[in-house]
Amino acid sequence: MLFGHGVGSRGDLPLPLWMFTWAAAIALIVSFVALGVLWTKPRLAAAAGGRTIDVPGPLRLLQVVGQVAALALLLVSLWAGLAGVDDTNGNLLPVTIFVIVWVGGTLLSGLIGDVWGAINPVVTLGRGAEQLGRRVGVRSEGPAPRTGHWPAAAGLFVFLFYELAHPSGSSPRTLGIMLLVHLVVCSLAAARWGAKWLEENEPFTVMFALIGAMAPIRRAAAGRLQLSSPVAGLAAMPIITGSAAALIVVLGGTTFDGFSESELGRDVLGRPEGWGGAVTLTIGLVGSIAVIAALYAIGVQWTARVSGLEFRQIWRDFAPSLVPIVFGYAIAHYAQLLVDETQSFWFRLSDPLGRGWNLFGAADGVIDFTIISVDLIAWVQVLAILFGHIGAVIVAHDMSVSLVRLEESLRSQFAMLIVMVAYSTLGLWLLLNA
Amino acid sequence: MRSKSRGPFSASLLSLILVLAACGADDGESTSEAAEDSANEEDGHSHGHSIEVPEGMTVPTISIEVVADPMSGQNLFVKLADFDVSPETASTDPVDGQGHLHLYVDGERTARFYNEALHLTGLSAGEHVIEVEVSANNHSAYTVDGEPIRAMATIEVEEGAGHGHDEVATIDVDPDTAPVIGLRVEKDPKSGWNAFVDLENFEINASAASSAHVAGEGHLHLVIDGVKQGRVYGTNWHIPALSEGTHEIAFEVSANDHSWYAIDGVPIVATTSIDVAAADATQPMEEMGDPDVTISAIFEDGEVTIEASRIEVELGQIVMVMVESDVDEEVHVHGYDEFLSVPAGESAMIQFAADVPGLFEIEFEDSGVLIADLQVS
Repeated sequence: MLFGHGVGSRGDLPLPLWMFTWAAAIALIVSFVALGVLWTKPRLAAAAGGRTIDVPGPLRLLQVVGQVAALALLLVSLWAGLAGVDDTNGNLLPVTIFVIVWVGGTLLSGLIGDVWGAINPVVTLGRGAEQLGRRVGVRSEGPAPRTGHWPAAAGLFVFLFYELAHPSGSSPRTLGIMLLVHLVVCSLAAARWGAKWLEENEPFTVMFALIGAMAPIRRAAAGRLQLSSPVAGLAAMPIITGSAAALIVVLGGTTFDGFSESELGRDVLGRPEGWGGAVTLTIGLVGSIAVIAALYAIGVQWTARVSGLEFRQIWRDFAPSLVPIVFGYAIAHYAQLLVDETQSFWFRLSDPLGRGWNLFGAADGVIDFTIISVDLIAWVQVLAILFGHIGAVIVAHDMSVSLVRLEESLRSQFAMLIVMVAYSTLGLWLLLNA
Repeated sequence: MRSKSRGPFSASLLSLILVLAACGADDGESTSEAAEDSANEEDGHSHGHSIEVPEGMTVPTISIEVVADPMSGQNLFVKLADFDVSPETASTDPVDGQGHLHLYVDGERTARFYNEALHLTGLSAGEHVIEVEVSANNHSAYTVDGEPIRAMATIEVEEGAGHGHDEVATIDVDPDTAPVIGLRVEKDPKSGWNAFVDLENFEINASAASSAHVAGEGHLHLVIDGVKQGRVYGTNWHIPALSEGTHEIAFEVSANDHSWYAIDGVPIVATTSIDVAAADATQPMEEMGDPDVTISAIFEDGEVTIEASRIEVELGQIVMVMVESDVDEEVHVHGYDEFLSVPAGESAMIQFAADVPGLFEIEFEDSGVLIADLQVS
């Protein structure tokens, strides 16, 4: 199996040094220019509350079609995982989970809106389970336990462990069993506490909703859609305990994925094999998450000291500024994978179980690696990191002017700026050493 | 309210986009970087492409001389010491002091050969640089301090120096003392075929080619499917890959003056036919020429031994992967989806053009052990 992002046959080329240098310099300059010229009163919250519109009729229809298609894809992929060939590249499940859902979902969530939330097949299943739960009387009378986003953060860690560290984590069988267990647990929880519970706990649902908060289209009350500038929505995003942790886990995972694919990572990690290798990789994954968390904690601690506010509050309130970084990292790291492997997804759809079928006539397709040039990929990578950085700086700036008095906000911003510069430089450095 | 709050935000984003676009236009920077990159690449690939003469192996010495043939073309003579030309082991693992020769014409590698003399034809009029390189079995050049062991000669080919003989005469010889020729053709592990000729009562004398007939002396002619390919001044010959199907390979025994040795008017010739399977006929293999980069790996007790864990090649280079394994394994070059079976205790090789940019894993498919990353840029 490939270690590093579960599936895929091609890795990223190292970023040219000149691109790295320019991008890092721009990130730095942007950050300090932002200190001086950006607004002095919070503005994003107002921008986030922009126009709301009714969901257009065709879109409602599209949503129903999407829900049916997503549920069908989930069930077919699950079937493929459990009953198809146990070959990562010959089975529909791995590419569906690691590329279409995980990477594709992140891209759509950040760029357009939380598409996953609109067609979520796990919630569709959960609604069924909820009905059933009512009928058999397991539905809880009281409210669900309030655990914030912590279960989602834990779930995301488990997912990343399977993707990046588990010795056979990209095997269709392993994934199929994992997915089955996941769906059973989700359905049981939905039967007990209602499908709504999944929206705050199911890992993918939570992550796409968090990233979707930066998108220009978001869900508003009464089934309406809210439109605003990109990133602005982060100011109005609902943050609960564990949101920052969930984002940090994902950012740490992407960082580790980038690191383990780099030449340095290969040297440090050796050639991990079996469960011994899994221990090494898990330590690496946890270590990466710890580094990302520590950087954030330093910024938070500094801001807390300057503002006199509590560490816990700052930790929570600044979580939205992580969203553009998570998004930028994901695009930078997975753009090429998405372009390459979406093709193989189409091929696998024709033969989901790898049994030699050819349902839609595309089973024998071969990935065209030349659809997008490697130069374009490099540009996408650099720009994704930079826009993630700029978004994060803007959000952190807006947060700090809203949280602390203006004269202190400059000093408090300084801390968060350094964190953002560190994240972006780290992201670029990983691309440089891909 | 909305437009007021959006204003500065959108404006700042826009100005940043402009800054980014401006820095993207800096071409000078990218060119100099690219030049540096390719310089690094040169370093990287010369490793795979050559073998430094190890301690304990006497450095082979080579010199060449090129003389115009009185009749057509040029005759190349090689003087080689401390080196064993071994056609039987061509395209297998390197063995100290053993291998074959590579011919370069004007810097282009044109042939592999096993003999101390070679007939050159088809050179255009004008100056040409002829070089012969001492190559290991695996086609990597032997080097001393990174410099390949090569001999060079510059020749001047005159206008009209290339026409062949018109009519073939025969020289009848006594059956008892007539030359006897035997032929065996075997598939080369890498590409094409190796012909091994056995001769009795006959001496190959390249330096007397196109001169007067001397009994029991001369050279060989290679004929494939009835078409004369050229002179052969030795008993071993590399035939490049052929198209799919059955081919007739013949070696004729020729006198110095290019007439045929014959018994009762029947020319003395050794003929054999070979069946070229579709897989071996894949012309790309031969069209690719010899590899630019050779990756050699040994798999023993579950551990990979390889020079570098990342091999950097330039887009379009020919990559050869040679693997030796103590278990039955299959090598998979991801992305290119090239597969190579290696039986336990043996070695195998595969060659392909690196024509897709990116970073690709080369791994042992069965055990999932990584061999190396192939970086094509």
